[in-house]
Amino acid sequence: MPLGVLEFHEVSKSYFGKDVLLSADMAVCEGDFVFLIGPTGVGKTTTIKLSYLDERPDQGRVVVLGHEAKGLRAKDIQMIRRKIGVIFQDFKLLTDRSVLDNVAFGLELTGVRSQVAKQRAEEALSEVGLAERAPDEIQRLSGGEKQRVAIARALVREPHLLLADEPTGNLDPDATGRVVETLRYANEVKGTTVLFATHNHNLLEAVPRARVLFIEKGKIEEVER
Amino acid sequence: MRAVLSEASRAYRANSLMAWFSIISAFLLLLLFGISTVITLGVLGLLGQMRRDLSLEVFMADSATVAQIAHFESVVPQLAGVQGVKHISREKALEEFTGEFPEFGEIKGLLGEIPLPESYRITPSDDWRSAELMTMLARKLSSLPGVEEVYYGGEFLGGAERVYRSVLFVTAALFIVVFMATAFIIFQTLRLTVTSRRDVIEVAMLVGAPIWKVRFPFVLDGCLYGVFGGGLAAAALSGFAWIMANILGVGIPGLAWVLALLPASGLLLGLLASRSALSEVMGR
Repeated sequence: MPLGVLEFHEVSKSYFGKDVLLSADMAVCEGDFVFLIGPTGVGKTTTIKLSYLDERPDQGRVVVLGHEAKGLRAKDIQMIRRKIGVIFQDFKLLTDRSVLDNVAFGLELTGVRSQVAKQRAEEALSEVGLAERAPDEIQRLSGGEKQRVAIARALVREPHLLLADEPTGNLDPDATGRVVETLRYANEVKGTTVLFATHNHNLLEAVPRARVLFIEKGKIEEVER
Repeated sequence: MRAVLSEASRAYRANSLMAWFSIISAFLLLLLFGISTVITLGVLGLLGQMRRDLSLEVFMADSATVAQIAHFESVVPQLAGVQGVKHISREKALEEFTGEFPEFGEIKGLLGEIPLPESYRITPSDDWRSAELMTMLARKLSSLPGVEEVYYGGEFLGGAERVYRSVLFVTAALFIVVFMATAFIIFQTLRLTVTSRRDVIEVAMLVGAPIWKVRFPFVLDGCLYGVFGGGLAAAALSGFAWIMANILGVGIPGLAWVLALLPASGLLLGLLASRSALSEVMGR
């Protein structure tokens, strides 16, 4: 029986009186590749935010990497986040430093020596096919390349759980394919658990073994493939 | 630590113009505070010197009887606030007078007698060396039989004390204004810096960086702005002190303390301002 990496138990969340999640249940197990599918505005981002402990549920239980979200202190959250990688639609890369420095940034801030961090960042960039862009400025990259840098930044810390919030939302089909392929590689080769939120049903074909969760009207339901 | 210092450097470069505005503001305001503190210390030193030199001159009436003088000499040493009593004979008074004013050296020969009265020099206790208590003591002495006049420079001392209180008030008020103004300017600078660096903070929080590592670069910048501004103010003040000492021959009491106080104040201001800015922008 695989271990539960992320669990939602009857989770409800609302913003300004509007219900986003209503007693939603979800379980992501170790080694899973899970697509969270749903149209824009149904609660995919809320689900991701709850998963990396940026939000707390109004009701219900969220368990991340074995830690009950309720009652966690800021220090505990920081420790748990070191085991989670997150990538966003808008990349959240730092434009005042190089590609390599962006990838090494998280490692350096969590206590890895600069030289070691740079070396690991180079390896992560190689894995996403961007080794040659390491010294470049972020502004010189295409959208797809930026997202792969963001993936490298997440993977370099060898996370137990990788959360992707519409990572292909701003990308053309070719770049989208490369990003999905990179995440599939991380899951199949490195064993990283992936929760991939998207509105794009066409991506499902790229990862045939992935589980699919459909989110609508506040509920999360598993869809048989 | 290298990564944290690197972030501090980036934060400075992101807003270097405002950073220098903060440093120069801190420098000017702390210099103003330093100068006013030096003036206060100078006035305090002068006042202390005046108080140490204080004595009451009690002049006896020519008509004072032997019994009255004997009564005076027995009663006065017992009065509260009196530390010592010294009799100044007419001859001793003349000697002191002509020593101070040599042009009147022949006065005794001209007048045929010494025109100065018998007097006593009263040394007050240390805790009575204020204008108010000296006036009280002078009144008591004036009321004794045989006493013609008591002189103690009370008005001058009272005036000096009033000047000191005014200077102290101005310095204290200035300290509050300077403290608030400098803190506000550094606070605004860091608020802008932190706001412009929100992306870095967000990513740092996202990767699980310890909170102190996220905050420290900004706190370090704030402290450095304050210390640098205070250090410049201390350097300018020591230059001012050098000119006073070597050209005008006037020493500044307590200068070393003031010079140390300026960067220390800057450090405190930077620390408070950066913490406030972080709390406002980061929300904790």
